[in-house]
Amino acid sequence: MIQNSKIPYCLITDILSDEQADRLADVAPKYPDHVIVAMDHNTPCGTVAVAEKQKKLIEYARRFGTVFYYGQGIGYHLAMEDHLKEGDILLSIGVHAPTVGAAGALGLTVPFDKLVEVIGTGGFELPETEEYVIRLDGKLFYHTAAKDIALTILENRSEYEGKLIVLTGGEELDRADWLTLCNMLAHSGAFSVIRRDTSAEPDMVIDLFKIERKALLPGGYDKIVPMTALDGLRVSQVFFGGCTGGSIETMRQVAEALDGKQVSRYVRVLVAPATSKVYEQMLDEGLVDPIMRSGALLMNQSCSACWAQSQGLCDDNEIFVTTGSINCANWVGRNNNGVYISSPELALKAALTGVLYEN
Amino acid sequence: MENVIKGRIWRLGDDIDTDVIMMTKYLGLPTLEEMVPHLFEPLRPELAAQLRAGDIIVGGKNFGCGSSREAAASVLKTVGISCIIAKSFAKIFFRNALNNGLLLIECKDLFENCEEGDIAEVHVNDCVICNGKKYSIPAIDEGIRQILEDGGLVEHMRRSDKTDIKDETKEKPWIGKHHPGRTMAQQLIINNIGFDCKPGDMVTVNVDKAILHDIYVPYIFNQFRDMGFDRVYNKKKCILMMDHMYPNCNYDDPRCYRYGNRFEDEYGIIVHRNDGICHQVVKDKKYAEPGSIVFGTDSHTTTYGAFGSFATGVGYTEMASIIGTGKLWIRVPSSIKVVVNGKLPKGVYAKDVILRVLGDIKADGAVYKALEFTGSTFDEMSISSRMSIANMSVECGAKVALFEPNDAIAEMFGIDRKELDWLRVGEDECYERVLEYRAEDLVPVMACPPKVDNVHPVSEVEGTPVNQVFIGSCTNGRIEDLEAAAEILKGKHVAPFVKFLVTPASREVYEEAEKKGLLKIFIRAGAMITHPYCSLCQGRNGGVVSAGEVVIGTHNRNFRGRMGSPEARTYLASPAVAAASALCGKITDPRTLE
Repeated sequence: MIQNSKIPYCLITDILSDEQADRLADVAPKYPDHVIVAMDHNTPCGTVAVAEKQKKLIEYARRFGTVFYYGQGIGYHLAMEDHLKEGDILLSIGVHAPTVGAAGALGLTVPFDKLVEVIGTGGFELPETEEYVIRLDGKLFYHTAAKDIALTILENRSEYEGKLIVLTGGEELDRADWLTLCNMLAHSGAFSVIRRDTSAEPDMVIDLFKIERKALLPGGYDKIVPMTALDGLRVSQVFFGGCTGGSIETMRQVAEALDGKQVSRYVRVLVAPATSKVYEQMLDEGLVDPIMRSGALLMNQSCSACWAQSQGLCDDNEIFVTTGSINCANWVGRNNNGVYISSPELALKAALTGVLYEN
Repeated sequence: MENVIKGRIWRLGDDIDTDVIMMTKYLGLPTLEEMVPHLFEPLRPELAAQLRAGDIIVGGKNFGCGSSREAAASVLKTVGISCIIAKSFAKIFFRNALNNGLLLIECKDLFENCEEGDIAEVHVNDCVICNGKKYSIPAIDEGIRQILEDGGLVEHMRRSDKTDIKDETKEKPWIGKHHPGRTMAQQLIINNIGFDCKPGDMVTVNVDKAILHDIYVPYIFNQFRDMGFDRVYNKKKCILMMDHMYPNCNYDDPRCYRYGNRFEDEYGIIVHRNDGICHQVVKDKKYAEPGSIVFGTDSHTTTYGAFGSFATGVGYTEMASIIGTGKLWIRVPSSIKVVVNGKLPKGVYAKDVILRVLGDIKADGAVYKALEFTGSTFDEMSISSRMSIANMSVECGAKVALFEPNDAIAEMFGIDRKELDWLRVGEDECYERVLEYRAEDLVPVMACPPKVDNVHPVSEVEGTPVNQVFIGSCTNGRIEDLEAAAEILKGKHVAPFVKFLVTPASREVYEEAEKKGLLKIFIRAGAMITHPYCSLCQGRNGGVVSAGEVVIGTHNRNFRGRMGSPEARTYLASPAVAAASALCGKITDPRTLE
């Protein structure tokens, strides 16, 4: 259970607007060691305007002695690696706060004013929230992935809107799968998402073996179609990274699939580990060489092409297949609406062939 | 071309670099018209809106120095500048302007005797009249006049006969004969053209390799088409490197990637996509052989002088002509000899040597000239260190920077050392100037903002707080550079709040750094390690900084605005100084650590 008496962690990243950074400047944290200031989205920095904003946040961390990271990876992952324990609460203005549910922590997306209030007072009243338990039974069939589970659950979002989704079961799923589930379900309208063992009666039971391959059309999380609808789509860019695709498990999968092969020359392939520790693990396991030699780019630990404001930008008419979780219109390019969220497996095939296949 | 030009004067200063004329971040914009509002942005952001067709720009010395970016000249032509009058021009800018049909006039005295808003009347080949005073100007060379008359090199080449184009380069450019009493630059040109020449002569050389990079590739492609070419002169000698715009960090980068693919698909040239910075890939793949003549679209093409190659930067229009014809006219440069003897003290590196030379001869000290390096210090020096020196030589305007091939070079290319004996630096009397240094006298130095030639011993600026440290670039992103930095950072973490960026120069360097455990040292020290590419050095993205921030970089340019905000300050130094400064959070002499 979530312990409301615990001091919540507050995550500040460089997605704050310039105005928000100004408003934060004089808010003295009650518990500086529970305020995590992580420059993770635009690192190394892409524009002078962002650098100006980051400077304010760096100054804030320096002045009040908060936890601080610059370019060490994605804030949610750093919080899970270094701070969060099961049952802890993390508050952030970012939509993907529930990602930390994969580690059994409660990630909540809150308005900026609320975040500032909690930073200042150290207190947070967890609202009474109904739980919605989803039990995952069995094992995924060949060519299906956590993304397909998430999309299947998203198809029934009216059932759990405003509730706390508790994911349970799924013994065969790995950490990357849980990250994907918690992160993608953050777009469901639920209060949050958390992985937790529970004996409560499930509200939904999913037989993983029966999950079908699904796809999300670009421009939001509303249009879910069978994967066959996209079969044969020509691809210009593929990205492995982000909250969902930047884990060591995905990096292993990428290195294994690219080993000894060359990515399509018509596809720009970017790989970015989620954190410094993931990268170090990649070095230890020999995952770097196969990626580098395949013609892919191995970028620094950050949000990278999932955030896509300073790495992985696309032309208007290009198709971008990502293992990240953002697919908004005009996101990776001025007039681009061609971002397709994919499982690592299908993204790897797209990287090698230049085509998004349905299996 | 008009014989009399009359226009309003805009007066700029000395060393107006091409970054100031057009910042790197705008180079990917699809059209020159879209770049116009950004002209001179870091220096005078209001100026672009005030420029009108027919205006005249008057500058001091070394106008157009720095990057080879032809857009600087093309956009000035687009806005309708009728001519630029300056005390002197940087070599690549000079050629770029001419190739765009933009008239440049050298005039020593006008700058001091005119004010902004004055009207100048230019009588081509004769004089400039301003405020009632007459200043004589040199006549334009006939060949240059023809290109100007045609409206630039594209039109000029469009009219050229293309029926008999063939590759006339030698199969083994390193085989040659020594000609006594000549500079090494002359030896290389004579070997290429087959007859004697002297400094100042205009000669047409055969191009052994053409190195294109992605930042200009759409322009090269279109100019090549517009000139009327349907094939490159030799597919194996035209090599394109994706190093500036991939990873694609700005909106217009994917277009460059696409045009790179088109070059390969339609003309069959060699393309390197994820291999790293062009100059390091040229080394890794041994593209620039001793004795060869190489042109590249990057100003730091001078790097290959480290291998005994006559190598220099050109603009995109000239590159289009080169890959079409395999030839280029050049003026045989006069040479400056730089002699360094002795052993470099601990903590003093090749970077300190070239920064010292730059500080001494200044940013325009070798414009149009060859720098030729010799002495026992260089005999002992690694190829990587020689590359750092040759690389940065362009920062004082050098056309080429040459080193005598030694055993290491012969071994690298698999050539019999004796076959390279003809490639020697000449006797002192061949040179316009001889600079001599004792290695033991050299100390760690930095190029301080805002000019590359503002060089001071590290001890003079020690203690300056540092916000960001960058280790990488074609100047100092090689294994020995990473090793020097890693030695300082091993088992340690950079100072709190210091942003630390490491970019190995090439994929081969990256892989070797991984094997040697250097990447692990850096990641544990708090680094962001990126894929090999031009990274922060180009200042388009990937680590740009805000007003008032201080950057220490191992790269090659610290112009105003190059790293982001015009109010940021950039110091250039050796990897050891950069690493020591990252560790301490302030500028630090590595010799003081321990």
